[in-house]
Amino acid sequence: MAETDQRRNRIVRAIRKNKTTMTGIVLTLLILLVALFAPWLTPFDPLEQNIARGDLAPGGEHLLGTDNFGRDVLSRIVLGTRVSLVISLSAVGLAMVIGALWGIVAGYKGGKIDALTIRFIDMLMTFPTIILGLMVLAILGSGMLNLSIAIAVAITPRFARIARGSAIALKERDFIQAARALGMSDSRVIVFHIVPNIANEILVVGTLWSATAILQEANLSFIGLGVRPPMPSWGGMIRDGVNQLLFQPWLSLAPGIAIFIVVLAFNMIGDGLRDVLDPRTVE
Amino acid sequence: MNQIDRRTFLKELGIISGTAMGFSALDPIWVHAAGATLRYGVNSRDIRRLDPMAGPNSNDKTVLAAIFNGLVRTTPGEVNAERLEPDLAESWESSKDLKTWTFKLRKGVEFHQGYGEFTSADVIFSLERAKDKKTNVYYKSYQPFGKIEALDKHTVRVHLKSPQTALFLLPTVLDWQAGMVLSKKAAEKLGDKLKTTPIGTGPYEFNEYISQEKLVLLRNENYFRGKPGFEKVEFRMLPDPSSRTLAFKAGELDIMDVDREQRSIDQVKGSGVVIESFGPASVHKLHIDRNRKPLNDLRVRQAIAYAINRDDIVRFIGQDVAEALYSVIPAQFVGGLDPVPEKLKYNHDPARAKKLLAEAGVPNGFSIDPVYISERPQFRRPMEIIQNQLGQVGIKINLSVIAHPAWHTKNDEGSNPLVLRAATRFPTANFVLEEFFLGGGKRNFSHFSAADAELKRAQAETNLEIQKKLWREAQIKILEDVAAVPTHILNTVVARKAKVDLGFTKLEASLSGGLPIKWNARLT
Amino acid sequence: MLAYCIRRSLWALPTMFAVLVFIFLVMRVLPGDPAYAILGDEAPPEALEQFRRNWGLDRPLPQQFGNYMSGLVTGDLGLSMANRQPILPQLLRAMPYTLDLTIAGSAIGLLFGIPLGVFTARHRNSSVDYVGRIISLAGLSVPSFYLGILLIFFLSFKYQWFPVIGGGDLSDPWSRLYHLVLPALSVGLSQTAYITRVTRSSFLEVINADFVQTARAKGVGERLVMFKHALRNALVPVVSVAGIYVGILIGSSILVTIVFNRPGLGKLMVGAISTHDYTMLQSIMAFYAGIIVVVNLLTDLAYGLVDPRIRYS
Repeated sequence: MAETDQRRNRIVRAIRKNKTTMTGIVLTLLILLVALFAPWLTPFDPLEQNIARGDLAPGGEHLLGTDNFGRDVLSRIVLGTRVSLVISLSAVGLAMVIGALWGIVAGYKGGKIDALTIRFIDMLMTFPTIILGLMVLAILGSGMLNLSIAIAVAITPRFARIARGSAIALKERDFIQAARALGMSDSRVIVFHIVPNIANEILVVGTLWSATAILQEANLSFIGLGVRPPMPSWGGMIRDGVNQLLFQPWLSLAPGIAIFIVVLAFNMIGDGLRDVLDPRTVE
Repeated sequence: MNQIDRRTFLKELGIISGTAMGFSALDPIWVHAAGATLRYGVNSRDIRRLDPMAGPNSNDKTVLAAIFNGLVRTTPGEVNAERLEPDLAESWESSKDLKTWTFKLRKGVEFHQGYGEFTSADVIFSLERAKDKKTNVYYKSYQPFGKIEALDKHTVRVHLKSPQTALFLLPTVLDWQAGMVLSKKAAEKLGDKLKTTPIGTGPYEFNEYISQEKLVLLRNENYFRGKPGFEKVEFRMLPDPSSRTLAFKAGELDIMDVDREQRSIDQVKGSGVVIESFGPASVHKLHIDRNRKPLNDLRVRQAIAYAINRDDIVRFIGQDVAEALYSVIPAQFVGGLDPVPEKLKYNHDPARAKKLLAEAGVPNGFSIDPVYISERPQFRRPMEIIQNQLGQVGIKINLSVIAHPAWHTKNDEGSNPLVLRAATRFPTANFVLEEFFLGGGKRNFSHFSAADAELKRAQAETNLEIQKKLWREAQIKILEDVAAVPTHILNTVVARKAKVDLGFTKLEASLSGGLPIKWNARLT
Repeated sequence: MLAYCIRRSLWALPTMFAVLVFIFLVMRVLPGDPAYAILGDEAPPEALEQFRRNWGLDRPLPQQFGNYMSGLVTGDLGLSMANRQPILPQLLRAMPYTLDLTIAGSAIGLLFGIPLGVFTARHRNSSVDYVGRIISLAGLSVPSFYLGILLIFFLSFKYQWFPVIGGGDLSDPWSRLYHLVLPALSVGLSQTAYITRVTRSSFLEVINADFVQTARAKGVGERLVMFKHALRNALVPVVSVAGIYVGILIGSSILVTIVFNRPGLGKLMVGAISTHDYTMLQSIMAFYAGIIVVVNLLTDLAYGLVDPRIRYS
């Protein structure tokens, strides 16, 4: 126990030293705050239409202009933060829990379950994320929940694979063998011994995939299978604005910058974590 | 051959050398010099259906309209069923009981690619094919057709099972949909390939097709009206509006479909560009499912009508494209309701809407979940406005945006409580009325049947004035019951370079879906 | 080694089969009727039923699947529901554009990514490294379609240096290249970011490895050490993640295709999705899946060649 504590402290110190990670963490916290307090931070009602004041250029009251329906672009981007984060983070959460459990059970139990699992994982991973997402959304229909599920379906196999690998490795360790010799049931072994040891790794991978999840949400919304109107979504806003790129470029360009900032923040954290936790690159 | 004049040549050269890398978005100069090609950028992923009877969509129709003729045609630039002109038929007459129609055919007309002279045999072949549900999606219009015989090589007699006035018979032999005349010899030779190789008598003949890229027609040198103005007509499939607009502005296109919104029009407007906005109007109406609670209460439906602000919708879409609609049949159609009684216009009145909701027992509004809408902007965007407007009076709609075909499925199976449906039909009232408001109809999304008596009587009637009166009565009943709220009409919008002369003076309406390409259209 | 190759190749077959079944089922579960999509809104209801009958959509599922599989095997992909033209020629016609984009995108990725990766690895922890890493992080954080939009906005609209439409004329190499530049850049930049990172980390591993230290101790010149020994070995992990890259590459290409309205498989696929053209969609998905399965197979084989441990697992 003391060993893991020491290890954790070392990691935390290393993280703090890493400038990239710290920037990423600070940015992410800011973004999370924006998402949390979005409804109070919007200068205008993001859903209120005012057709007479549509397509206004940035400046004056509307810092980023208005869209075709007369809605304030800045407010929609702010609300979109919440939408994006809720969808991607819940997708990652879902994928983590289901993927890890699935992978652990498969790796631990072995045999037929494992063989089937690895084939199924391979098959799912054959599809590029976007195609898988398209298929799931085409079946389920649009909406925030379905978008989450679609993205989760695409990334669950990755978690399953990692969890499976770790479970296989752990299975042979002494303390696991001991527990089993003592007659502990499989489920207790999994819950009390395997899961805690895998948790760290899964969480790290989770942060890494959060960035991807946000990008995938943008991709799917851009294709047109995103959240239901009138909720704003960054990818959806880019899509709506793309036809007027020539004359009202801010409609597409502004949300894209938002996507970039959020994904960059998550990538910075993930990058730092990867550096810090990989023993070979720590000098 | 057109010669490029010096000024144009130098201008092109100047533009080319003006760009940094020496590349230019302009076409090579020799395309203009080569002897007029008309380049049409269509808003479509692909032009797929080259068989007039297989259900072509509007872009397919534009192509087919240049390839085929019918027995009669509309006066170029308008669509008026009361004023049709000879096309492949020089003249026609009917028996007193309106059950026998005789057409005298034009002589000396040749089919494309050497398929021989146009004769009665071809007309009989085409009409028989039109009657058959296996080969014609519009077969229902040909159900009154009985025996069709050739009196001689250039005279055809049609026997009808029930009397048909000119207003209803002639559109079935128009150069539109199934009225297009096919070549019997070509059908025999090509068999099934006829569906992808159209052989007609029109000013341009089919030459080349590259899926999702372009379709090329060549001049029919022997066209019976005269030598067509272009050597080549090229349709380029450009579903992306930015690409299309850019190509047009850069001189790579002479004509382009414009997305039906003011913004798109404003992007293209300019000197040397003419914006054509024409009909037949695409009628947009919001069907309300009268069988669903609480929509089954008349007051609730009236509240919906009062909540909708047509002016906002029209302002959003744009004056050059849209117009407010107060009855499901526009005034300009034969049989349209004009004027619409003031109180049946349900002019925007949110306060009154709320009062009606209170009377109906839902003072705080209610929610409808889900309402499906197609992801296509033409439907989705007005629906977002309607969603907002209904929200103002307390009716909350959970809008589910789904793929276009999926939306149709939902509508057809009755799962969609509010259907914003558009219809572009022949501009005579009965088509829309019978398709959407006749009891038992597959597309009667409102489940409305109160006007069945009027509509059925109009079907059997041969006096046009009585028919019009019956249709007007049907529309009044629809408005009184608020089976559907008519919202707006959309025109088709096409931009053309001013130097493209269409061959007629004013374009008000065209059945060809896009810009009609007549034989005498040419570059000035 | 041979045993491994055979074993691994055989694995690919059931995977491929499972993929095809999956695709088929998904297609059939998709709500929405191809009849409407293809015949258009104005088609009368009778026409829609006729359409469904013509295409055998009213037959039982297993029979439809049987037809599908037998078609694939014989290479007769049938007709596209949307335009009734044979599918295979349409796919083949779209291939050059897709290949162009894929190869150009990967080339850009490799051309810029590997040197950048090596460079930042060699100057590890310096400010150059830091900047390089931020840039590659940024490259990963921009959606490829957005990059495409930015490029169009600045290079096609504001300064009309590049065309916006389509793929150009295949028969004219200049036109083909000209229309390739912006799309390839959009795809290539994110590829560069990925490849830079992987190259960097694997290069770092290798630099400190024993055999490199040995070479140095033996007095071999630094340059030779770097390029001959280190780089070759460092490239192995780059190859091994090729499978993932192809997936990402396909994903970016599809989106970029939409933005640039560029012909190719991506455009065919998106068109097929919006019209529910089952036959076309099945063929394209099968094709993509096939490519990925093959690429995975090849990289596994290559990896097996290099790393003996894999062979015996």
